Amino acid sequence: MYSAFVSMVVIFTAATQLTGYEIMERVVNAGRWHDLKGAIELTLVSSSGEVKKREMDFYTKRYEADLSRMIMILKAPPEVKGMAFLLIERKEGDDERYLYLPAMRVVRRIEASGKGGSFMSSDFSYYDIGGVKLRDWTFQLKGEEEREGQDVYVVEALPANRKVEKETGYSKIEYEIRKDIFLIWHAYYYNRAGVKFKEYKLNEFHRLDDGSVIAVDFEMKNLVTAHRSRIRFVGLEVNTGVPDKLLTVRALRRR
Amino acid sequence: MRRLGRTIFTGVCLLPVAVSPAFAELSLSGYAKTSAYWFTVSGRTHEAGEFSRLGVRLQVNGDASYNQVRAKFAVDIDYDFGMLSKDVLFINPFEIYVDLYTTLVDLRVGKQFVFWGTTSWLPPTDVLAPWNFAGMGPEIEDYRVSVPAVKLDFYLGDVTVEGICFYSAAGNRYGPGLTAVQVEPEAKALEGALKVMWPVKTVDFSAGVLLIHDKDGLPVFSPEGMGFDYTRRVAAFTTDGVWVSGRWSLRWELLAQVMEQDKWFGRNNPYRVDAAVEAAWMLTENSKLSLQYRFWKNWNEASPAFVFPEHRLVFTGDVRLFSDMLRIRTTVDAGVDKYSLFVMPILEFRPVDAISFSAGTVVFDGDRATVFGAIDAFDTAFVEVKGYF
Repeated sequence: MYSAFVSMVVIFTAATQLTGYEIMERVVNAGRWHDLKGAIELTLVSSSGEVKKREMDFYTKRYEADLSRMIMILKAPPEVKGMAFLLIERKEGDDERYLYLPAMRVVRRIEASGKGGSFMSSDFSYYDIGGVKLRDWTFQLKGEEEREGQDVYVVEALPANRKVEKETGYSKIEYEIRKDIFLIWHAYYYNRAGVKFKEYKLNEFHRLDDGSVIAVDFEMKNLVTAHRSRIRFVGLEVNTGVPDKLLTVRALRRR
Repeated sequence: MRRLGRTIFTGVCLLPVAVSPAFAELSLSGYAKTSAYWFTVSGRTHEAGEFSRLGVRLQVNGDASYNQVRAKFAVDIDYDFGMLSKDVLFINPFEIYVDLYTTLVDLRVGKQFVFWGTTSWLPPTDVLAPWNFAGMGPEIEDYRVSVPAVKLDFYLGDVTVEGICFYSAAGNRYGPGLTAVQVEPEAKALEGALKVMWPVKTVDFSAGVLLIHDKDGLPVFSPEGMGFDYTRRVAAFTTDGVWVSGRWSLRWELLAQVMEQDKWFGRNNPYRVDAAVEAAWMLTENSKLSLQYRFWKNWNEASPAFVFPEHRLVFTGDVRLFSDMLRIRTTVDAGVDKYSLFVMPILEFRPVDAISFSAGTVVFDGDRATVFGAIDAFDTAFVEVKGYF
C-alpha cells in the first residue's frame, strides 16, 4: 500500500514537473503588465567605489509578449537633462532607436551597438532591459535548490542560434527562478569565450493588484571589472493606459 | 506694406514673451562656464597670443508646459574681460518660443534654431538659418544662428510635413571684416521652406523645397563703403535620407539650387549642386566614427572663381572612456582637390557629474577662395571649466 502511494506521488510529480521552457514562460508572464510608467534611478558604482546616478522618466508598453516600445527622458545628471530616447522593438530586423538631442532640438535615428550594447553606460545591456525573449533561447531545467533561503529552479539558457549569441554576447545564462513568484532571483551570464562575467540579483519586487509581480529593484555586477549597476523603479504605475502617441517619434520631436 | 508685415511677424514671434509668465511650473537648467580662447595666428584684427575671448557665461534654459502648450527659452549671459579694450556684457536670448500641440499639427512660434539635413557636419541642405563659421567651437549656439520663425509640423500617419517661414535676418558670418553685412536696412521678404518626411522600414527619407536668400552675399560697393548684398533669391530643392542597420548608418543629402540674377553685375542665374554621403560606425555604445564625402559645383557663374567644384572628406570621431569620465571628439574637414582644412579636436574630462573641463583647438586653413581659407586668421586654442545645473 505504502509503495503504491509513493509510486503514485512519483508519477504525479513527474507529470507536473515543469520544463525549463515552461518555467521561463511563467517568468515572462509573471508580471502581467501592459504598460508601465514612472521613474528609473540608475546607480553606477565603479570598482573604486565612485558613484554616479542617472535619473529618467520612462513609459513603456507591451504590444506582444516580448515586443514593446519604451521612451525615456533623462532628468539627471544635469548635463544630459532633456535628452530623450525611443526604442521600438521589431519582430523582424533591427530594433529602431531614436535620440532627441536637446542642444540641436532634433530627433535622429541612431545606430545601435547591437542588443548587447550597454544601457546608459551601465552593466545592463539593452537586451537585459528588454527581459527574457523565449524564442531566442533553449531552456533546460538543471535542478531545484535552495539559495539564500529561497527555493529556486535552476534553468540553463543556451542561445537558439549563433545570431542570438553574437547579438547578445552571451553563450550561456544560468537563471535561478524563485518558485513562489516566478521572478529571476539570480542570473549568471557567460560571455562568448565561456567565462562567467556578469551576475544579476533581484533586490525587491512589487505585487500588483491582480496578484502578478514585477521586479522594481535589481542590480548587475560585472565580475571582471567589479563595476556594479543598480536599477530602481520609483513611483511605478502599472496598466494606466499609456497612450500609443507617447511612444512615437512625434512625441520625441515635442521634447 | 512690408514694414507692416514685418511688424506683425515680429509681434507673433514675441508672443512667447507675453505668454510665458502664465505658466505656473517652470523648469530651469543650464550651465555656467569660464573660458579662455587664444588666437594662435596673427590676423588683421589681432596678434597671435591675444585672447579672442576671456570671460564667463551663464546659460539659462527654461521650460514650462500647460496642457498642450509649451514655452521654452534659452539665454546666454556673457561677460568678457577686456574685449574691445573694455569689459563687455552681452545678453543673447537665442531661443524663446511657444509650442502648440494639436491632433494633426504641432506649431512652434518664436526665435528658434532651424536644423535641416541628416549628416553630422555642415549638412549641405542646412541652408535655411545662417552659420557663424568664425564661432566654430564646442557650443552649438556659438556657430548656429537662431531665427524668429513660425514652424508647422503636420502629421499624416507616418508622413510628416514640415513648413517653416521667417524673415531673412542675417547672412553667414565669417568673423570681423568678413561677415556679410546688409547693404539695405530692410530684409526683403519672407523665406520659407516645406519638407516631406517619410520612413520606409529602417530608412527615413525626406524631400524639400526652399525659397530663401543667398546667405553668402555678393560683394558690392555703396556710398557707405563695401558690403555684401545677400538679398538674391534662391530656389532650392533638397532630398536626404538615413539608413540604419545595426552598428552602421548611411546618411545622404542633395541640394540643387538656382539663384536670382544679381542686379549689381547682371550675372546670369547661377545654379549649384551640393551633395554629401556619410557612413557612420558605432564601435561601442560609447564610441562612434564617421566618414563623409562631399561634393559641390556651381554653374553659370560670371566669375571663374565661383565655379570651381570641390570635393571634401570629413572625418568625425567621438569616443568616451572610463565610464564617460573622458571624452575625445575630433572633426577633420579637408578639401581633396583644393587645399582647405578645418580641424577641431576637443578633450573633455568629467571627474564627477555636472562638472567638466575641456581643452581644444579650432584650426582653419587653406586657399583664400575657400570657406576655411578665408577665415584662417581665426585659429584658436581654448580651455573651459563648466558646471551644469
